[in-house]
Amino acid sequence: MIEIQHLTKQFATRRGPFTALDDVSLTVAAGSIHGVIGLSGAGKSTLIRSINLLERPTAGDIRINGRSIIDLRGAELIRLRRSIGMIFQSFNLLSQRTVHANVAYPLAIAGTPRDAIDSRVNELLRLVGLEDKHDAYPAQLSGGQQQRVAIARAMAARPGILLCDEPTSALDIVTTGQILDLLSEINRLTRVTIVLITHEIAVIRRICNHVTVLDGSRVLEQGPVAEVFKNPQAAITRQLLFAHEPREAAP
Amino acid sequence: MIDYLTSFFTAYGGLLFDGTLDTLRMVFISTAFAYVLGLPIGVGLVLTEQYLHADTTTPGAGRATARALHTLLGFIVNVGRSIPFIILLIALLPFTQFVVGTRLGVRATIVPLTVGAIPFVARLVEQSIREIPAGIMEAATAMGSTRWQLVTRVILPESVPSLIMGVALTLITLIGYSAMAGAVGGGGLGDIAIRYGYHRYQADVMLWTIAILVILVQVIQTLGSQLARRVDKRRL
Ligand SMILES: Nc1ncnc2c1ncn2[C@@H]1O[C@H](COP(=O)(O)OP(=O)(O)OP(=O)(O)O)[C@@H](O)[C@H]1O
Ligand SMILES: [Mg+2]
Repeated sequence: MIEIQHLTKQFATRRGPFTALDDVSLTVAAGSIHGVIGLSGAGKSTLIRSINLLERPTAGDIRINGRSIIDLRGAELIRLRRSIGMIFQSFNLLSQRTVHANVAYPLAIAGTPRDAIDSRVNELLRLVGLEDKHDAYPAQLSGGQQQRVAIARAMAARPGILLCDEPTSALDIVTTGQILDLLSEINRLTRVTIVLITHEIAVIRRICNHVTVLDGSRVLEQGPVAEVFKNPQAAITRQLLFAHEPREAAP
Repeated sequence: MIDYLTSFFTAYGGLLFDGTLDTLRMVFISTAFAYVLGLPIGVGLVLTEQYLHADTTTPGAGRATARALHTLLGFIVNVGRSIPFIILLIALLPFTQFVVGTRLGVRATIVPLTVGAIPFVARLVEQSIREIPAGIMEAATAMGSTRWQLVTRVILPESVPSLIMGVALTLITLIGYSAMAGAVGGGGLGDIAIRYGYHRYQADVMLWTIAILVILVQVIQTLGSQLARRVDKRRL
């Protein structure tokens, strides 16, 4: 379980402090798929990056399974990050390493023995449907395949949490569906808690149980997907819901 | 023409051949030494900078140390880069004498070449590392890499193609520097060009040394670019 309590994040800029997150609170139940939706600049990335302390909050608290993480440093911070997987819009695979070496990376840095690494990598590449790509390099793969490698890599060390920052924003609509189904399948098989960021309502609809709507650094509404979308309270939620409707149909 | 070439190379072929080998020896050895120090300095410049800009680092002592180290490294590199090589060469003569026991010849020239190349190499390495997309570094950090693992498993392997181009550029730059060292009896092709071309008015010897220098530069650049392309897995 992830509990985010009154989280505030300010960036120091040349024109003074900029508030990217303002008193954000949300709870992600263990094993759920929790979507965070919002427009560009809403603070979605800042929020998800706080969970593995790529950004350090200015105020508030983040608890993972009851334990506050915001003051972790050094070896404890490394241990925290090794227990959380993360995937990105731009895949971010190591360009000079094979698929196998990319997936092996989290295990290798943790000192896992060679043969244990090999069998785990085989298992993961089978799971993501890339067992014939062990020796390929990222440049030889399509975007969807690269994201599959990134997912395998993120899951290699059996993390309890998987953070996804717009994982399908660089993919076409069919590939997006396949990647989302894969995430859903992994969630079902491993019970990994998924926090997923997106600006597309369709992504939330397809795989999320819960949704948080973020706008202008604040949480506007949250709850089970069906409830929030059936009875949207915030104007921004309605805009997102009806963005693809013909103009006349929009409320 | 044939007659000229035959008689010229009978007289000077050995000299030019030895000069070429001396130049290559000086340049390659100095480059190797320069990377021993320049590479860690370049990495240090990037790491201390990232540490200062990263949000996740300790306030206080760690930051102050990083800032001090970054400023110090940057200062050393800038001072080194601002001294013209011919002046560094002369200024270092006592140091050279102390290190290798002579001020003349190939061994003596390796000292200023190395010292002169270190800041150059540090900046090249720094630039190569900066070319790595921020997202890759971030993913590696998010996976829980230690700083050492970040350097040895991500930063250096990801920048290999660019580092190879940097080595070629360093070798070429040092060929130019080594020719300057010829002015103070440094050995190699520059030495020959100055002794024969300048002191003895043998223009043809000088022209041949120039021709050889041009060929060396071309060959090193071509091989460097090809090798960089071949090892780069981003274009297959
Ligand atoms: N390091 C930083 N320094 C200053 N401002 C920042 C920094 N990182 C983010 N911001 C600002 O914080 C705000 C929220 O950024 P964030 O990346 O979280 O948005 P987002 O919701 O992920 O947007 P997008 O959909 O475009 O990715 C933006 O206005 C951004 O300019
Ligand atoms: Mg974002």
